[in-house]
Amino acid sequence: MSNLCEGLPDEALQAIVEQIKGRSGAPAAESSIDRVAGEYRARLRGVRCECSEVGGEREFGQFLEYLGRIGDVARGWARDAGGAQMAWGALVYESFGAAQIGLLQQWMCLGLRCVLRIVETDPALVLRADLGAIGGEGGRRLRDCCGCREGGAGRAWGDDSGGGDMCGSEAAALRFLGEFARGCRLLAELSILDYARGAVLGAVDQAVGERVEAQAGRWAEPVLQPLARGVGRAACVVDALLGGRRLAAGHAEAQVYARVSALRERELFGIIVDYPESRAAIDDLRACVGRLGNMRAVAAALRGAVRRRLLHPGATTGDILTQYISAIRCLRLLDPSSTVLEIVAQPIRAYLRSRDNTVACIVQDMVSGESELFEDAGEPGAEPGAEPGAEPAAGGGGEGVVLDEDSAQRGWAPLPAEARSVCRTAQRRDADAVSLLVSIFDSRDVFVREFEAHLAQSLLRHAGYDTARERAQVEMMKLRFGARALERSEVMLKDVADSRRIRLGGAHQPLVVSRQFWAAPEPPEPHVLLPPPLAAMRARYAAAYEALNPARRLEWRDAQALVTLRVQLADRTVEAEARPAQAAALFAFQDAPARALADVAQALGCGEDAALRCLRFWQARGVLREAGAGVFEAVEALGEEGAAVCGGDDDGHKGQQEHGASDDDDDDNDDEAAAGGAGAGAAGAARAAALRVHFNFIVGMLTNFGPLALDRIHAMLGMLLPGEAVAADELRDFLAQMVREERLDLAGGTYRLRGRAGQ
Amino acid sequence: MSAPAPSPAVIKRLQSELMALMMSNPEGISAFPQPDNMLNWVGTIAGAPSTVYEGLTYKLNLKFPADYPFTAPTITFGTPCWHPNVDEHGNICLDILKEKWSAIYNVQSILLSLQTLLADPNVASPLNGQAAQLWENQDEYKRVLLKHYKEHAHQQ
Repeated sequence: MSNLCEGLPDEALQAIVEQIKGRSGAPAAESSIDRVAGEYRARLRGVRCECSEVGGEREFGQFLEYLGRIGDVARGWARDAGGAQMAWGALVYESFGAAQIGLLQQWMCLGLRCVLRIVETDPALVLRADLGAIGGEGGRRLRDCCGCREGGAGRAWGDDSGGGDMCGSEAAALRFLGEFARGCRLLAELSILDYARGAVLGAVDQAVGERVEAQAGRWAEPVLQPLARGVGRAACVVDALLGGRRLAAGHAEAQVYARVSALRERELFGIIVDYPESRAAIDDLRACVGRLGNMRAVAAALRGAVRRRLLHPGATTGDILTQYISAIRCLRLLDPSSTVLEIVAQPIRAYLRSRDNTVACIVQDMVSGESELFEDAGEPGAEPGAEPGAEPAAGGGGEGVVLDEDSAQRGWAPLPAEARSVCRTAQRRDADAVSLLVSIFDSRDVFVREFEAHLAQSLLRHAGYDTARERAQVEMMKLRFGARALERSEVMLKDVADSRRIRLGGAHQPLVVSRQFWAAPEPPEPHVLLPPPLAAMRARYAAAYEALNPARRLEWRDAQALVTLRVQLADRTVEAEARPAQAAALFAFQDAPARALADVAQALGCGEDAALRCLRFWQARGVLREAGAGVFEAVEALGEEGAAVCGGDDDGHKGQQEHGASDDDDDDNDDEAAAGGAGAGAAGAARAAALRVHFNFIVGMLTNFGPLALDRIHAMLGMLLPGEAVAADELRDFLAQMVREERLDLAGGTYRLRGRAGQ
Repeated sequence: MSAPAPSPAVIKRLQSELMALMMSNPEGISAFPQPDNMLNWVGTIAGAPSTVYEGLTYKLNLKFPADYPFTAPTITFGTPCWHPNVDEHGNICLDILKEKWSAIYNVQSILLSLQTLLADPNVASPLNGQAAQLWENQDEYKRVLLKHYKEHAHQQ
């Protein structure tokens, strides 16, 4: 309270006291002060701010005027009741209610926003402004923190990030600083701050909160340090203006950390998705957590987000794996002790274990070379420090190995370089991302088995003997799982290499594989009799092979073989790759233009179902068509009726697979196909067959819907049998024929089933 | 199909069931989709020969769910049916349409099951108590059944 009289020399003060006492004597002085106090209380009540809230430049000025008028009253009080400062404090306290405190907070917040903008733009400007006399500690700190332009220069005044036009230019900023300084000085002089501390701190909270929230979603650049520096300077300016006490400074910095931490904690899931673009955000969060020690809260929040957003049936296994890997990398940056990782990873790992395609996805990622996983997969044994996540230790807080939760909270800090290897041994599971993935499952065998299946498939799928890519994959897997585990894979590669060497000429490109070592599933494929030319070719190969390898017997795997065929028809040649059974089925048409399904089945030595599948294969390619129930014929010419001829031929190639009792082999085949000519009238027959299908549908609709008119029948057929549209005229003719055959009745324009008059 | 679009897989499955049903054309049962909605079918079953339901024909409404065949279709009698396991609204009590549903069933097997149910009711858990009680007395049962059928079936 010495503020009011600070400027007065002691003698003058003494004189005032004497004057008051002398005027009315001691008792009278008491009552006189009461009277004066009553008068000033009324005057203070009479002073009202013209605005009800402070949101812009005009209100900022109005509030300043309001403070000025209170200052006038205070000066009057000092004159009339000099020395009774405590009483003045009580007066202000009485008249300064919640509304005024709220206004003060808003005014302060607005001022802080502007100051923040100014110090972020050009901190040195503060020193050039007319701030009134600031001496002592506050002045020194002010010069220290605003004296250099570090981190401020480069921004233009026009960049409106708070404060509106009040500091939109250098001149405006200088003017604002002058006003703000005057306001702060008044606040200090009026002793209001003693009980309006909360308003100042609230203003700091609000201004900082606004600035931090504006950074939501901006993860690419560091936010924490620039904000902390700016806010620190702004708080320093405010403290200096308020009379030199440390009011805002300490609080402001803590607020920055708390707010940034809360923001990034909330956004952590998204930050991990964006990693590594969001690296800066992770660094910020790490710094916050280092200061606040809230690592476990961060972990719990992330765990919740992961459960909510990742571990549900809508996420693909691939996405979950990707996010898991990102999480591993991010969290290692965030927390070298891996405490968080453990907490967050546990539900992810449990969930992945429950998905049945997890192993396949991981293996796929490992071998595809496209995934980020692959980077790690090649260097499993890399020494600890070399792993991608290891960042340069930012100021080592040397806690040593952090293993228990308590120490993680107490002294969380990046581990110093020396500690890193120790740490890593203790947590070897964190060695690299792939190891972590592999460790989801108790057994590594599942990965090796999955890889073998993948390898077998990929070797069988493409023709030829080039295995460079597969070789590379096997080598990579060996690094990770050890050579012993990959023995079966080695045998597979060797079988391919051997097959190439023992190629015995001819059109065969067999792949001889060892049955005990190949993981390929054997699809149940009915065995078919191959046509004689093909069977003879195979027999020759087998004889030659067995002559070379006396102890071995070949067993052919037709399901894996492919035959390349060239089919000559009357007007075109069709090239196709087919399974041996399909080729053999087509071969049946070599000598006859049309065959019944039963005949074909007999020729193949298999059931009609299997034979029909083979014929459908050719039907789909336009080589055969169904001439009638159970009868197929070659489509010699694409035009209307065909006549014709064809020769078949072919050449084959490549087959594969497996086995024998103890070894084996296999091969392939080829074949041929040919087709005979078809007679005229085939089109008519085919049409009749199609209409038979239609008739069944017509019976179905008449049975269930009762009598129907021609257009309804036509429309429904068009919808349900779109591939075989029938013109309305043609349909009418067909229905007329059905009526003649007494299968339908036509009455009153509608058709009905014969003998179902009741329908 | 102009109807609200169910998944293509469901439509495909129903189309292939329709094709199979049309081509096999089993005796006494039939079904066909409504012109405007592949998920709503009308079915027809005839009572099997030498049973009390011989000569009687019943219409059914089949509604397929969007996740068919993993969920059973909803089937009701369109023609009022006097039967121990059918209530007056046409609801049917048949285990394979409820808790014993399996994706291996199809329209044809359902219709066959219903045809069988006509002649072989489960009188232990009736929806129609009167019919269940009368079942023992086949002559009386048939008399009431025919009366009921004459009264109601022609409304269809």
